[in-house]
Amino acid sequence: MTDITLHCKVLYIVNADKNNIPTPEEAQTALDEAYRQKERARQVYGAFNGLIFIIWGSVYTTAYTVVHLWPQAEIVWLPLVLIGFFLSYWFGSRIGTFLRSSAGRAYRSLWAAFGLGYFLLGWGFATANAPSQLFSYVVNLFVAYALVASGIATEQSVLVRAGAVLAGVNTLFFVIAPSYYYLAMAALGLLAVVTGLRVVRSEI
Amino acid sequence: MRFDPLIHQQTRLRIMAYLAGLGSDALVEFGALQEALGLTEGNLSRHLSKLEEAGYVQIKKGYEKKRPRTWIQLTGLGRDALEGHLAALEALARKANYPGLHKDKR
Repeated sequence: MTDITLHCKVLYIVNADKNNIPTPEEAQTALDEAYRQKERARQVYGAFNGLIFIIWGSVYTTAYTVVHLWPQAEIVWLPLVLIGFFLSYWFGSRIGTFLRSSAGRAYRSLWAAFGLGYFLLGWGFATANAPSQLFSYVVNLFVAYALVASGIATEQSVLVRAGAVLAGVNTLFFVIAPSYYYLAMAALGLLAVVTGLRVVRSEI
Repeated sequence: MRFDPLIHQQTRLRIMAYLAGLGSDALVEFGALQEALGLTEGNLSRHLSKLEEAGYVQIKKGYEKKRPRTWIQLTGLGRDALEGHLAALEALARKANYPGLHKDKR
């Protein structure tokens, strides 16, 4: 550093102190801290999304693998879905005890509506004796939509990406390779578990 | 863009930034905010009072399952003040490069 630049810097620091204005270095430190806190706050939603990925990824992997191996064992879905809904609700409620926001309310309403729609759809398909693979396909399209909508509401891009991937894989295997459909969805569930674990590890 | 000495105090800046990060209309419970920022109850109360006086945060008292709860929310004024302050800090931080720029020109 030359004498002139050093002189300028010292003058700036003296002036900065005089006016109670931070030096550029102090300003940078304060900025870094502010952005770090903003990021930490966003991780509250991120960690929740990670847990949801783990829960529902496990449900998908287990149920689709079982149904792929034993097509008559479709009843396995019922307890797993109920456990999934219970755990999702429980984790959501825990966040609700310390954080309230319109994004959270939108998220909760969306998935409550989805839960109701899921059971109505299941009842309708079962009554009409419709193919179970078609039921899975329709439900997964709704899940994909709910993921994208939740991602937009909570500004979590990982949810939007997850919804897009689910919609793509769901349609691709249902149309092109239906015999591998359940297996592909099980693999997607496993991917969700891995993604969830990575998100939780990075956010906590 | 306005440098705000009230927000610039380190703890208050952390409080404001954390609240802003939660979302535009988020309410956070006092205990959760205290835990997230690693502050004592008294310290957080003192800083929140100053921010409330300036109209930057709203403090709402209520009950949940018969237990008293205090909720904190960043106001629109607080959000604008924080954004203005961060913009001022960014402008100040850029000045750190000025001596180097002059040297390059020579």
